[in-house]
Amino acid sequence: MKLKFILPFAVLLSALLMLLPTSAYDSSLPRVVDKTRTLSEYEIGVLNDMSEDFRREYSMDCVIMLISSLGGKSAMAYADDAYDEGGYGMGSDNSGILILISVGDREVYISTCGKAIEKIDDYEIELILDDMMGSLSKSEWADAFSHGIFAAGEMIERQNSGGGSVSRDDSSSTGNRLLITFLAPAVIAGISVGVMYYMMNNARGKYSAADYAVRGSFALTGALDIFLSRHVSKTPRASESSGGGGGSSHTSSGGVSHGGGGRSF
Amino acid sequence: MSDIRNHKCPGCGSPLRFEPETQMLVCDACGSHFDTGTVSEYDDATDGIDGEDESSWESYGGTPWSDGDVRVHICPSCGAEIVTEPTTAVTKCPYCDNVTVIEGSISGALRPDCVIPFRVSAEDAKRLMSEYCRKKPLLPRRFVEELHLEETQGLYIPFWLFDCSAEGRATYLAEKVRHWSDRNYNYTETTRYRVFRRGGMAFSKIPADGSRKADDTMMESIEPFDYSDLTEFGTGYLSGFVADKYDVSADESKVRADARVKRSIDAALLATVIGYSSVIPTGSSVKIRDGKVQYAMLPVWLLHYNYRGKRYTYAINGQTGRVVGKLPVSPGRAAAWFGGIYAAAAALIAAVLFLL
Repeated sequence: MKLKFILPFAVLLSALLMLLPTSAYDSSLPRVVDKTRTLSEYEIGVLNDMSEDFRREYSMDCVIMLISSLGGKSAMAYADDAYDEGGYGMGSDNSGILILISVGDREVYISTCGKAIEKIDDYEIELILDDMMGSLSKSEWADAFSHGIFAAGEMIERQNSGGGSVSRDDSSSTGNRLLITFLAPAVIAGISVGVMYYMMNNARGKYSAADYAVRGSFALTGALDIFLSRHVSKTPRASESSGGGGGSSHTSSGGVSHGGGGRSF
Repeated sequence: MSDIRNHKCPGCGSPLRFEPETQMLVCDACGSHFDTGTVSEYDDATDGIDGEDESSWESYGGTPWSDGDVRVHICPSCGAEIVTEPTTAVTKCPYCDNVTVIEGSISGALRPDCVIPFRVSAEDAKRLMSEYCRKKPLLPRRFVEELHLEETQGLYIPFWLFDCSAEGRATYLAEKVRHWSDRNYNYTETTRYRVFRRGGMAFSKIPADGSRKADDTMMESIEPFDYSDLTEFGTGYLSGFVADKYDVSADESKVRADARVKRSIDAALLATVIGYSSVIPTGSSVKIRDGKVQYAMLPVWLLHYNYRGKRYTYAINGQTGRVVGKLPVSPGRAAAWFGGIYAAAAALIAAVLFLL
């Protein structure tokens, strides 16, 4: 009797658990990977804390990787493979980011996966890299990583709060904004006063006699449409990258979809 | 063996060659193929289309004034010959405001066939002029304050009214553009056609003013008149008003009517060329037939005003009340509006760019 009572609840609970996304998060994996052994313990501790905060705040994994050389791979392939093969990610889609700095190649790359592809678009990746460049140029790796994690968090925060992606105009230089502030009003004022000036004279000649056409008198008495030629041109389609509102994506060697971007420093 | 025929390609104008194998006419220049019937039909339809337009108008006979019908006043300043009924005094020339007007004898003037009587009173005309000035932000304040609305004069202006039927023919080069894509390519298909249209329509009472003193652009701007008020002319309609005597003949005015008819026919034919992405007119001709002319007096209120050494003239349609004329612009007001709009727009844009 007691078992009969518990069984339906057990089945329901199992069904609900099956509906929940499978969490792939493995907390035993190191989130700060320093293959160059240049980061101090204190720096590793701080970066670990930042990674943990990132995971809790945004439900996405955050991995940082400092290496000496890409070993002949591209930064994108190295970062994507490191993320996939390292077993990183949260949820069924392995959401998360990996920030890779190759000291020897002087390259930085941010790989996104799962929801991070939607939350951080290509332009925002560039903004995160912009934030890191100051520290990278001074070889301050820990500082560069902390800038990167913080900036990535800001981008996701903005998306989550409904603010949308950072537009290019938002981040345009102050000079451009000042130029717009001074020039656009001049155009608006010029057009407005131009319209007022136009209204000062309504004496304009009539070019047509349409007002005096006898209503219904028009009759089309002849019509010929002769085919002359047909020409078909074709241009190759631009290679497609999946967008869908987030960043563009590609497929890693492991068959996992990744986004991201990088640059030399 | 192929025959050389005296047909030209509707696409490029090059000579066409008859190709016995396909039984079609071929253009060696552009590679087009046509069946012989289509080309013959096109040649017949467009024969002479690039020639002169034709217009056929009756010559206007008219009716002379009877002795004692009217008095004529001549302005020694601008030469205007003002016609009034015998009891109306003319104290000022309605065209140039000259106050010395001498009486003369009527000669060569024809009695108008018809007239549209004034519907807009002198008071209405002043009110309409005030309203026209009221909604103009760049108008100098002094202009409105010093405007002598009481000097507005009612004048019957001589107009020639042209009735006709017209037939037009036009050719066009038209294109249809279609786009589609497959996995690897974007495709654009452009199909070219030679298009021909022929059509006709009738026109009733196209006005053209018959006075050299009246500005043509201004007289066209106060159109249209409502011809349901058009009535047979009688000198009684001149009571309290003055009338101008025509000094531009019907033959001279018909050139303007011809041009308006041609543009209307061209526009009506072009409107029938539908279903194409682009249409370029390549030729047209118009034949105007059954042209008849009437001499009419149409009512206009005129107001002249000298402001800062420049003369401004305003015309008000004496039937519909439409006010026409160029108003002076105050540079100070224009600068103030520019500055105000600039400041408001700059503040708004700065707020959006820097604060949000």
